[in-house]
Amino acid sequence: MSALAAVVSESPAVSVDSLTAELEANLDALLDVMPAYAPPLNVMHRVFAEVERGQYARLPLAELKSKIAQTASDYQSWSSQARQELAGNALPLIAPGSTVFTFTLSETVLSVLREAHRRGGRFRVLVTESRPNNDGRVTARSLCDEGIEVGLGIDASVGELLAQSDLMLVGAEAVLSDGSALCKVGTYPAALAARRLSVPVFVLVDTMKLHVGSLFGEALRLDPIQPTSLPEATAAEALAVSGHLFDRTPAALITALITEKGIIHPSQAGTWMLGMPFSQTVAGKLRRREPIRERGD
Amino acid sequence: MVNHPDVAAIVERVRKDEIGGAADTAKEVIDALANMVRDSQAKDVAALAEEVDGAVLDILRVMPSLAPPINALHRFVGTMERAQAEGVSLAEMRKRLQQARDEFFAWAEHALTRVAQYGSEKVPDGGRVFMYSMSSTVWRILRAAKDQGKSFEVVVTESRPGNEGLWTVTEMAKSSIPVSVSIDACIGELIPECDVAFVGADVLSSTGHALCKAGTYPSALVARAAGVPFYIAADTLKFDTATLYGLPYRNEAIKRLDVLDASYPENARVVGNLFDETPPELITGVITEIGILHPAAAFSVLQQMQPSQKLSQLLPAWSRGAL
Repeated sequence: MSALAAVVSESPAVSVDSLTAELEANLDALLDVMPAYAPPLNVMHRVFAEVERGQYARLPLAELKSKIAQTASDYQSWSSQARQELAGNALPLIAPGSTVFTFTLSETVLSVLREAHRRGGRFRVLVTESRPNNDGRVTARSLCDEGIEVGLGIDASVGELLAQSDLMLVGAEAVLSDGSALCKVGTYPAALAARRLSVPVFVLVDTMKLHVGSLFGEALRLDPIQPTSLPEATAAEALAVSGHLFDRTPAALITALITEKGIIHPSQAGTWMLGMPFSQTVAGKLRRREPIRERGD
Repeated sequence: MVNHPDVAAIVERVRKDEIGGAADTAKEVIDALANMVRDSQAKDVAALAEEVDGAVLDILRVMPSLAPPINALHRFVGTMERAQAEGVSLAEMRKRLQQARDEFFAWAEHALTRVAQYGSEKVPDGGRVFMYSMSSTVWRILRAAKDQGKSFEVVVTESRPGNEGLWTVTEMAKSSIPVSVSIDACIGELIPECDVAFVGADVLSSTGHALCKAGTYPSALVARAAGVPFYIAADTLKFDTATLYGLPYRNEAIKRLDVLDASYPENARVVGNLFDETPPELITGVITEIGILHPAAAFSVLQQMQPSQKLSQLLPAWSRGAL
């Protein structure tokens, strides 16, 4: 958001059309590198929806620039407030003496756990490595540094560890219009184990994680697992490596989404998206890109 | 106390966890005991039996929860017990124990061929097979399917912390079976794209639960959710008599240094065991040498075994690691 806002405020453009062209060029560059992560895409939809409204209303250049600047500053203040409100909604879930299972590394989940600990809550956290980049170890180290009791396992141990847990708290890259959550790979098997063991699964996401484009079938880019992620101890030379960095946990396995707006059922994700800004420019550019295979159950 | 070099060697390798598959370990254990009997200087049956008992105790002390070597010991020690009850001569005892060894080896080869034959029928031509970790039994199934002229590909994940899944990659490449590999966390994506899943087991309990490499249980959950048949390949030597009497598995904790390096703070604990338990309701069938069984048929299988009384008395202490 701040990058797009900077383009607008520093633009030498002398007309709405040239400003729009400049923004679109930047949009192309951003889309080229965009990972499977909803907030930046939602921000683009938000900015370009503003541009489209401005074009339609034939706003003068100065007014359009100030509208976009306003959109950016509204977003910044929303963002910090949303984080606090989300944490406030999540804290009551951590009952005294409970064991919390979390997967990989989520700043949202970490901030909730830190806040719960600061308030004197006594609880234990179980987390697994989260291969290939071992983000779970970062979580373990960070919690240890805070003095929170933590146990670290391998990803293959999720079945055993969830059996010892009272609740599962995870973040997500994106929530889709069907209520499914796109998360770090391994979350889906963990959620399956949680369901079988009647452990509730809470996905902590602010509403900017609700990927508005998914309403219209816009897919996110899922990066494949790289061969370099595997140990080199194999004889086969041309090693075929399969799998992606993210998997999709269906709504049926999610107990609730914890958002800044409150605790909602995942089925409400699509309804919420209907009220989110959506830009035809962004959608059109995404459609012209290589189709991405939808994965999940 | 160990005095035969072959027995000492197997004890040392089990203790250091330098063993291969459970079936191979069972063979090695029986072979070592048979060699000890062959080379024994014992002057009578009682002295020979005492030597065997001592060696069995040494082996048991280091043996993890692997049913095949334990069941093999049941066969060997059981043979000795029955012969002792008959009051046979020393020469006859030696003969019967060598026979027990030979019969065991013949049985094992025959059993694995049968398992491979029955299992290969479940490999779909033109299909994709998921396999977790490594299992020489599943490898045999896949090779048998390939020998039938079936064309299929195999998907496997690395299986941390030992990465035995990579052995599968090597084995499949050797047999010219197309194989791809991924990380364990990807099972949720990979299994739904497969037609069938096969895994090996370390132990089958009397209630039909399968103790397998950690990560098998989550794989079975994914397979169930995706409607993919989930088979356990295991000859009946894997059925654990001790579970019938409520004895726990001897599971092993994952070692701290397999997960964390020394830079992590002391209070970062490593949790989890090397094996997990897959409940019978997630298992489509157990492929054994007597046929493809429902996992809960374990009780009938166990009923047909003739466990050694001496060994049965040792197992409670063994399962607690207090032998």
